[in-house]
Amino acid sequence: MTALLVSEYRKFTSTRLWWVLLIIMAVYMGMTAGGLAFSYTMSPSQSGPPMDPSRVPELVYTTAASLGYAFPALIGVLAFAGEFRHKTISPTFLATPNRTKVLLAKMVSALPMGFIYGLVGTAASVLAGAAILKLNNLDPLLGHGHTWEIIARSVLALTVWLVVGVALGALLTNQVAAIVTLLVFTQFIEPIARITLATTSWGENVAKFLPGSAGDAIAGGSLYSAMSTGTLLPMWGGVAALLGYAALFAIIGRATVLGRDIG
Amino acid sequence: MSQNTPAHEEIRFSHLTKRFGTLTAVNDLSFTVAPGRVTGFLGPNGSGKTTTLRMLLGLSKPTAGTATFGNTRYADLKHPSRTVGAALDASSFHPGRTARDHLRAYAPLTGASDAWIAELLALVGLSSAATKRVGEFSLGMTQRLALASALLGDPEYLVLDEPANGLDPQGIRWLREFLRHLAASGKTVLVSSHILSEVQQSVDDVVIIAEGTLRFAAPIAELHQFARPRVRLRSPQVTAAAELAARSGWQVTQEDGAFVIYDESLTSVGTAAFAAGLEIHELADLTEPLEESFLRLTAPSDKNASEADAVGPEGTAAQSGDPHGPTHTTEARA
Repeated sequence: MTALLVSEYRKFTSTRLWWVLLIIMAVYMGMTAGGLAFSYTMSPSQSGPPMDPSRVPELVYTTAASLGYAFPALIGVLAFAGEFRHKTISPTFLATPNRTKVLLAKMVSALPMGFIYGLVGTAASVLAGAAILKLNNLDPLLGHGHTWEIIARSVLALTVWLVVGVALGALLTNQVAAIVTLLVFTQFIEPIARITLATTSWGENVAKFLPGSAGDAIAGGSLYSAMSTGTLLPMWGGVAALLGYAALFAIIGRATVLGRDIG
Repeated sequence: MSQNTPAHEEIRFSHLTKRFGTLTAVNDLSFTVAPGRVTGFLGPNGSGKTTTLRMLLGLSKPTAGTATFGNTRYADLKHPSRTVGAALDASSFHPGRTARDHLRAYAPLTGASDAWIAELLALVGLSSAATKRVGEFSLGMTQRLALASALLGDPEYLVLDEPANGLDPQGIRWLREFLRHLAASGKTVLVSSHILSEVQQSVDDVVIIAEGTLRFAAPIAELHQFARPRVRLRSPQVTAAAELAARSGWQVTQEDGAFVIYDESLTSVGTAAFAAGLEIHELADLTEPLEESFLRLTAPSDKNASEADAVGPEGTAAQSGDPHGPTHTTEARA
């Protein structure tokens, strides 16, 4: 199993995509967090709901976890979809005929990459966000234990997202279909669903189990939960829900697509 | 079957069948690949070669029958990639990965060290392209990289699907020498091609399939024998020619005012005719080239069914025995 993990890890790191996407994520998240910090500090009462100033830093620092999770998910999706796209799935299954093992190895070997994405995405949000807050005379609260807990939870959320992406790729092996599905769902369908569902009490209970809400729950709050009054699962509930999605995708993918002839 | 095999056993295909819906891609295919030899797996495009090899390697599930290394299915091998090396598709590379990184990605599972990878890249002539991305490779270079990948685990068996595809004449010559090199090191090589001449000089045995069924399986020498020598002799002295044929014990048929003499060489017929003082207007070798035998063997069954049964590649292969030891079975089609 160690050999298989090393093999899968080398596949992640031996193409350019992972660091290209990582840089894009860092820049995008830094700019977004900076922008959010700016808007919260400039006109807290006009542009949004009334905001407790002590909560502003954590909302800014979880920007990557609440808005940037598509990046690690995308890298994860390509672990399988990319192999099918470039037909390297044949040598992969030749080297390890047990396809369940390959799937598990890909999900486990995604952890270090997920951690890197979590670290860089969160760091970009924190650095840019804290700088803007400081410039606008708001305490970035970097001396507080609670702030660092939020930061660590954001890293964890993004790490889990990459694993979810791998499992989704096992189900959607067509690279284009996988990317489009991921982006449309995370950027369009889910945000609308969360806001819409949060208007009713039963819907709120459904909404907190959506993958995006589960990710926010891990990170401990986000822009969406600040905008609406939606409730979130406890942190470990969020981890369990998101890993539940990963398990569901993995099981369905293994039973269907990965069980088929490779040709 | 083969008791005194070297380090490893033969590859066995037994009643292997694959159906895709109503289409039967591989139909009750049975043959063996002798260890330590190079076997050419030949057939036209779409005859079921790739499907057969993918079933052997566990990438596709057979509808019926088995394909095993000795008695072991690929998926049940203890160290699959150290036992069997395969090159199935020259395009199974991530274009953004370098040649060396591609090999390094699979190396942990084969126990290949970085030094061995460097050696392999040198062996296939890609040392200078080791750090180039595969997307920049020519087709010939990806074929070489595919061979290097197959050799990563220094396997006993090599399964190569159309490795000559896309190679230029120099590349094909290089491949021939490469296959002989592999055979000399005692490996069992199963190499497919749709062009006999590509592998003709480097294989010991041939297995020919068409329309998913076995048409011929024997040492390559027997494919030569299968092409029965025929000489056409045309002479105005018809009676004298007939007498000569009778005297020489030739088996002849007459067609189009000429004699066709079977199982004799051009030289022997010419010599006899000269000795008999026969006036010759035409003396021609009608023996079909190897490629012709191949084409006839792989012709669509509706056209050659009666012919193939009459000439009987099954009979030829099964009865003439194998001077090299391992048994080649050719199952009669039901």
